[in-house]
Amino acid sequence: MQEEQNLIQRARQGDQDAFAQLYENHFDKIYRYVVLKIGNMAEAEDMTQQVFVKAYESIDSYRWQGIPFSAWLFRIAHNQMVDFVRKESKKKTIPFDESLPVLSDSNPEHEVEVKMEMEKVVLASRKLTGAQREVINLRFAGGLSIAEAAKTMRKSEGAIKALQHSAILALRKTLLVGE
Amino acid sequence: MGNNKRFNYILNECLEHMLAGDETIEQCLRRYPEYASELGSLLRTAVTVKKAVDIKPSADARARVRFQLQSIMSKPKAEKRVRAAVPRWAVAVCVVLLVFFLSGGTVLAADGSMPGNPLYPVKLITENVRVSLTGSEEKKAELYALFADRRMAELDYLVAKGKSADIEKVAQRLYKNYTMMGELSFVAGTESVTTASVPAPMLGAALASDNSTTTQQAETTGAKSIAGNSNASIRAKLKQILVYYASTQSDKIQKLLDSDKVPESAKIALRQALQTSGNNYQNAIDNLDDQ
Repeated sequence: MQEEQNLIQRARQGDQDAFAQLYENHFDKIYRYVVLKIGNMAEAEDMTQQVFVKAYESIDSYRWQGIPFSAWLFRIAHNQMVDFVRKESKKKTIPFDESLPVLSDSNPEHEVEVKMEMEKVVLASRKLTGAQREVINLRFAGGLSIAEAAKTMRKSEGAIKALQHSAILALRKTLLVGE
Repeated sequence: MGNNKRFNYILNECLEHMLAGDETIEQCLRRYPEYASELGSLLRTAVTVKKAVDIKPSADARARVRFQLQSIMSKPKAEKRVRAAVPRWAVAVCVVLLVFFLSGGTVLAADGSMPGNPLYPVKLITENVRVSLTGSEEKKAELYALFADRRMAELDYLVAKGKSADIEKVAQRLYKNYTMMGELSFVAGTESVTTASVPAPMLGAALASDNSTTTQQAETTGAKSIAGNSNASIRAKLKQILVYYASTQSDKIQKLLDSDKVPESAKIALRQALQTSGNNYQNAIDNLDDQ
């Protein structure tokens, strides 16, 4: 944590290496978060890039004040996604339900298998409420703790736990995971 | 603590241990036997979800984003402050333009690069810049058709080389390309196709060629540019180009779908591309007819 604060401080002073390190530390989880939201690799790359460009441009406005850097990044990502989904839903051009991510796996059979599971989860998560979906996304794709997810969503930890419970319950019904 | 709150607490506590990898579902259930039935199925669902979303971005994706980010960070602080006042797309255009002018030779060399080549990311970025710098929707349609043809050439190359891992990525890009084409809205009389800020792609040769993988030749030989003509004749020419590409590209996609050298995972994206290309080429052609 102290190391991250140090990186942030250096990045705010214009140290590009420090920001590059922050990028390396957080790229995977932001990418996963975006992929789970839109289920399309090409769009996910663009969106992830935009999140980090936005973070770089706005890092002067970041203040620690109890909000972890990851929570700040996910808020940026969330806002980008809201804009994206609003734009796309108006145009109705991207068939979300048909899009799939591409994985970096050298075993094609395993990759197809994982993709099918991913597709099931992406489709199932679309049946959740917005808040439930956000909790699942932050917790499982983003890897945030309950406390970090609560900071990101500006809710209490108790509310996040309740949302997590109801979301998994709803996913269980849709995914029909064996009892 | 109420029952619900207690259960939420227990569920989360087990999840934290499982996500951290220091406890199995069974170990957790042994600690809370009174909740074993309900807790077990929820934890199994959570594990299914976690496994499904536990993907890693490709090294290619990571490198592309890093490259673009570094390009942006390489700008002096003062310029970044000015940039904050302008739209994000303009920022990206300016930054990549800088790269474009500073490394013109690299950009030219990148145009012919194929997936896996170190210059390939530069090729993709340059394409984005060309679209961003083009004000006319007609010319954007032309560019998207051209870039789709490049993707087709790349797919041919990858199939020939047996690089199945990259085929799906390119197929996804092809699909995205068609999607972007479908987002264009042609508004009669509001933009002149001759005012584009970049040189018009020279696609005439593509019309005379039976092989769409000769795109590069079409772009670089002395084929007649569509720039400089009247808007009506440009639209007629563009329509010819789109009709040509619509036909040749759908045929090529179909061949790829029939090929056993293309992995099943890539065929999903190719089927999306095929469907999208048909609709969006038709929309673009119809839009031209309406004017």
